[in-house]
Amino acid sequence: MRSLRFALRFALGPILFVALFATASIAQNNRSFVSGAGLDSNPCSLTLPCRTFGQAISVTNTGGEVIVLTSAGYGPFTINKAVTVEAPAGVYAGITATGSSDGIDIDAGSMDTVILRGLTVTSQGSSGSGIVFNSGGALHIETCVTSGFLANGSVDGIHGSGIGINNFGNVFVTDTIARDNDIGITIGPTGTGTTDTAYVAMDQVQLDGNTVYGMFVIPSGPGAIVTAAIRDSSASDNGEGNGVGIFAAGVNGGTADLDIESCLIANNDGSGLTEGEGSGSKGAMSISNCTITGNTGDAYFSSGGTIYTRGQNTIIGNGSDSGSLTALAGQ
Amino acid sequence: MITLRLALGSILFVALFATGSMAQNNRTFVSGAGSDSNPCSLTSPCRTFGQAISVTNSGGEVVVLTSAGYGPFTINKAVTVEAPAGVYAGITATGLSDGIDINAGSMDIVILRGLTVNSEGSAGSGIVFNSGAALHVESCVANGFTNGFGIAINNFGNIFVTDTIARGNQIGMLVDPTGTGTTATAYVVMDHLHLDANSVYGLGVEPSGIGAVVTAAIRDSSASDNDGVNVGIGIIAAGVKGATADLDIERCLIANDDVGVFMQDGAVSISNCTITRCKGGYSENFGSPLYTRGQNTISGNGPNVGSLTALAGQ
Repeated sequence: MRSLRFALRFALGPILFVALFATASIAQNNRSFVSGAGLDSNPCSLTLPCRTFGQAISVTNTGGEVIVLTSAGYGPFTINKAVTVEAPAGVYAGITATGSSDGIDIDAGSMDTVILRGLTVTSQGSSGSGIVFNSGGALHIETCVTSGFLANGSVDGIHGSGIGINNFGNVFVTDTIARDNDIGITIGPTGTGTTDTAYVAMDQVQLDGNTVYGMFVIPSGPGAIVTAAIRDSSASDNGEGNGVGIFAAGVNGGTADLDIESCLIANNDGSGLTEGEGSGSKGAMSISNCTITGNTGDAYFSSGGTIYTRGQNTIIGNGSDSGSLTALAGQ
Repeated sequence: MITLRLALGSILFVALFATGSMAQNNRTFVSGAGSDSNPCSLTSPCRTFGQAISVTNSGGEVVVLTSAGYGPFTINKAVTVEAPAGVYAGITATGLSDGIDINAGSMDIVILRGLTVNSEGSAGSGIVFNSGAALHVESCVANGFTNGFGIAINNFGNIFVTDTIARGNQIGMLVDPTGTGTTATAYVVMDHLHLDANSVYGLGVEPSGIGAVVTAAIRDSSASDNDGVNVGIGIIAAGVKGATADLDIERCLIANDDVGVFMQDGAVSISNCTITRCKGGYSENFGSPLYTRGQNTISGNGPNVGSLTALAGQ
């Protein structure tokens, strides 16, 4: 194992050199800064910060950082490279989406890692979504808030999502809130026939008060797989009459696999959990150390997919149950 | 009595004189607008950690006043370096440089809080413990060391890592002290870590050589999506060349790795963990016990290697 690691290190060296050389001519800062008093005609330096994320990203090297210096609104933006955009704790960086605009679009390359930290994305009547992953290698969302994306099906039946994962890649969501949207987080990549997977790991995420779903896992098309895990999180008070806390369903041959650990799934106006695989699709869910309570409809609903449990969940005070749980032995 | 007083006075005087020229502040400050020709005081802060540390008393603190980049540095004494919440302190490593090197004395306690270490093509690692008595890493981020490790513990000592993220590195955190024949132990406690999206390991516990022992515990943490070009492992505990790697894993999420937990030459326990959607869930080798109380969710993985050993709850 050790020799493998060092072989890998040497193999990576030349690739890195080429990558740095290729990008050096178009961007110059390892770290750029924005401020509420900044100007986009500035070089985005510490002493001469810029005003918008778009300008700061454009002058930041691949793998570099854009840091927010002062609390302010910074406007919607698009990320098309490997970069970190961070507001440190104590600094508020707001992004307000209006019209048909999303808050933050990630349209990065297939090897790019994008990191968002400390950003607050809100909607003022936007028909779009908050943080939208259209392409990239990996996306880390840490300590962010998305709120109020209520498209209500206004555009082509599309609901607004606090976080929308529309493509394959590795996605991590940590210490983040998605509240008062149509859907808290949607994970819905579309397959094209060959196997492709979206890996999603969520930790300490609050997916509460959304009008339709807290979490919606919906890979679509042959070869599309979502492999997701969530722990120490909440999907509560979602739905207005027929909503679901956590809904996972492969459609048209897609596969939705989801593991849920130590989560609270309470007071949803509708079902707590749904694992519903469509025709030609397959998928499975596991629940462990969860509390599912106070949901007006089913605590859990399985149709075409399997919900595994080790028998150590608290499921009480819900409207009903549909489908069944499948025993899984602890190991 | 008079003789004693005079004698003590001389000793005190000598002690003060000897240290006064090198360090004088219990607390020093750095700022993005500071200057290293300043005394590193609150009103006249310095610009770099290196200068601030050099004028800070042993056991003192260096505090960051404003968000800025502060550059790589080395710590050679007992000191705290802290960016309070609300202030961003970045360290960008390039070339052959590590981000932060800890080369402290055998009795020195070093504390890092609130620092962000980022690689721009560095061949080194993020936070590197080469020597010292104890290291606390709290609320830090180590990112992008694709040729090295986010956090590297190269020596014996007491290590604590809390509320910290190591992502996008070759190895998120590596504990690999080298033994020299006599028994020496690195004690490592980890709580609320995210060791995700690293290409080789999330967490590697790999002491090497006769006498080398690592005794480590990790809880409420994630080691996920460590899936490299070859084989990525969420958590590996492997003693090498006669060393012993002991690790206890509590309430962790280990998902989407090539191999979730890999162990050999030591003892590992897993408790209340979810190990899921890995190409292999666990890999137990050479008869080293992989203990479980039977309350882990191990599901949806590819084939496991070896076996689990039952441990009775008490």
